[in-house]
Amino acid sequence: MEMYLSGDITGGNARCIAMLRAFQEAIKDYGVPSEKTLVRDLTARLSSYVSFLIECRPLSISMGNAIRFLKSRIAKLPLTMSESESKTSLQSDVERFINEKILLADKVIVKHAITKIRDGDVLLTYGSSSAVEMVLLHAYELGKQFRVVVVDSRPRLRGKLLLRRLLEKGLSCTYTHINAVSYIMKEVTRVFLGASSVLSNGTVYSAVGTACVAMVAHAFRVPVLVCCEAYKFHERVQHDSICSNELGM
Amino acid sequence: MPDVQTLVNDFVNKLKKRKIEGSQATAKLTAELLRSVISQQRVPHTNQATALIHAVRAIGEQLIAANPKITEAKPPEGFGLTVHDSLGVSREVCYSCQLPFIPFCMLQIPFPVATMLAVGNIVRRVLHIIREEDLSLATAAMAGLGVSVASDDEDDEERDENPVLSAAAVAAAARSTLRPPSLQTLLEDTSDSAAAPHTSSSGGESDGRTIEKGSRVRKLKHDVIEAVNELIQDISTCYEQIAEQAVEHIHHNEVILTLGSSKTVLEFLYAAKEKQRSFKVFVAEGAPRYQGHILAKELAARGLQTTVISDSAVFALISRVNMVIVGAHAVMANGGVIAPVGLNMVALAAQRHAVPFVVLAGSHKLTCHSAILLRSQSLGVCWWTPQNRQLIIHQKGIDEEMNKKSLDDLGFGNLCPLYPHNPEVLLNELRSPSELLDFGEFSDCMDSASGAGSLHVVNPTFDYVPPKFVSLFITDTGGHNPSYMYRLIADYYSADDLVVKRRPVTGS
Repeated sequence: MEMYLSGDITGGNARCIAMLRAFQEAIKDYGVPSEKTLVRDLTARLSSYVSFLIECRPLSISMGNAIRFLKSRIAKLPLTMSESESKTSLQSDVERFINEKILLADKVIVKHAITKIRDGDVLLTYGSSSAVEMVLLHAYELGKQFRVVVVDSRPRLRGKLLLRRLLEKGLSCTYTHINAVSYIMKEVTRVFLGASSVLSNGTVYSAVGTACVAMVAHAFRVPVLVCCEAYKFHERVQHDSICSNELGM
Repeated sequence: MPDVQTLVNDFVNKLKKRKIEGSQATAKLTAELLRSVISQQRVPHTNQATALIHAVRAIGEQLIAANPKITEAKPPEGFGLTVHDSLGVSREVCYSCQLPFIPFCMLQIPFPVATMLAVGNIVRRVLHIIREEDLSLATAAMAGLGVSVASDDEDDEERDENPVLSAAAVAAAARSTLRPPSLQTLLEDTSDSAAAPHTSSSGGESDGRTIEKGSRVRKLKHDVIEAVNELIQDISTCYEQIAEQAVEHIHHNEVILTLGSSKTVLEFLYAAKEKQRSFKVFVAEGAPRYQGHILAKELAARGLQTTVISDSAVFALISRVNMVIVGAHAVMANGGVIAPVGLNMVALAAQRHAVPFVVLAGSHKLTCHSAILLRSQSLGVCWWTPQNRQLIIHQKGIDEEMNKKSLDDLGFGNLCPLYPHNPEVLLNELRSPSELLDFGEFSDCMDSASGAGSLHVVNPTFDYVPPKFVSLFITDTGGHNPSYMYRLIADYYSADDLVVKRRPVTGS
């Protein structure tokens, strides 16, 4: 059931949603063993799932937040509630989390971000962020005239995937690699970046290379906008990328 | 001189076909070519320096003009593109015309810009050498004159007592008229010019002036060839001279970051390792050519602790790096650097974290004018329009930056010789998109589009790093501040040669 983290699902939101869907399934299939309470046993069960996920790939901050949410919901279940009632309540909680915190949040982000795009803009984005992609596509559907610069970098080359999706929708794109970002930045009017998390000191924690793009944009006095759902916020503080990070394979 | 002409043509062809790569090789070959030009040049008895200068300048003009100017470029029927270069040759440059359609194609027309800069630099260096040698011969002759005059003139006791010193003073004065005194000449002082061989040799024979003149003719040529030989020698040993300084800059347990591949950097790091320094090297791979891989392999083979990082990780790691050491393609008069793409980003990151950004450059890379206007070189910006399934090749340098007329008006190096104007574009070379995207990779999703979408691929070769980001230049003559570059340039080039190509009198 949880073999989905082999690398096919990437992106903070996609991974989080996939994980929550898997938990929903798990809760549906779950039966309380005799002599045990649902609250204790399900929490333990959940922890074992999570440690399995961590073995596959370290959790993103968004996933950590979602797990914390689910655990607190389990802990708050009234003891008097029957097993089936608890399960349906938890499932609907998860569903609500996905809808409100992720999908609706994205819609709100798109609504806000679109007001920042004007006709004739050249928008630069780095890698592939689902929120930014939605913003771009929605702006295009609204008939705004703009051009997109997709900056990509090794090793994942996720920009190519974004580029393909944008091209299929008919947007005009420019594709380049991260080294050329200072070459292309002159013609850019806005930079849209996605984020894995926003830490409590205001630091944006995002895919490697995002800092480079933001720095170059700053040097060229180009506004940088970061699209990040509020459920990804975290109270940790960090001021460089070495102390806490995830290493690729 | 037919044989000189064939040599020149050979050289130009090699440059065009990119058989000569790297600024060092180009510089060396240019110097060798000019040496043979000088040795074959028949010099008249009078004004031999001018004759030599004219000869070298003519060749230089030819070499620089060989950079084909694209006078016309339009997509004809099909996908081909006809280009007329300045040699009057028109050709179909798109190699894939036979194919039904191609998402990308590559144009291979002119020289790489770095090569161009190197050629121009060497031509100017040689011109400067001729001027210098002529001047030193002239001062030597004057010294001889000084002796005779002094012996006639009774009341000037001091001159009579020390004729050699007075000659030296004349030489120094003459030299200072050519260029203001630099640190080097200040240190050398008068003793050096007094001890120069030509002063002593010609100072003695003041009696037979006709014989001296005959020997001077041959002597000038001889001296110039000697000096050019020295220049060639300098070019080939500049690695070692730069590498010698490695120990002064790299300390124990330091972390060094570099990007792309440069032989100078390799030798520099290896020299530090040879001197028992232990340090770590991070090599950013330098997309899209990934030459960093080559450098890293070489470094690892030589026993240095090497780590390859992706270019995007530069910012993440720079906070742990002690020094950034990179090579350069050309150094501008204002201390700006034309360097492999990506270095602007690295320099910004280094500045953000106050990490020293050190550029290694042989003095042949010094570019005396920083604003040569070259046409945008290989045209790498392409787009694919689904409506007519046709590839349009976009010439950035011409379409976007300026129109053709203004380019012609500005000419070659006529702008202010100190400050580069828009060098990111004008001194850049856009390479083939195939280094970024595979052939036909996106043709499937373009076809289905409603007709609005288009795809540009931008793949520049160079970055311009402004002087404010550079902490130090290490050249074969030592370490220098960026603001000192114009001074070095004054040492190596004479101001008369900044414009090699004379503008035609009549408007073409």
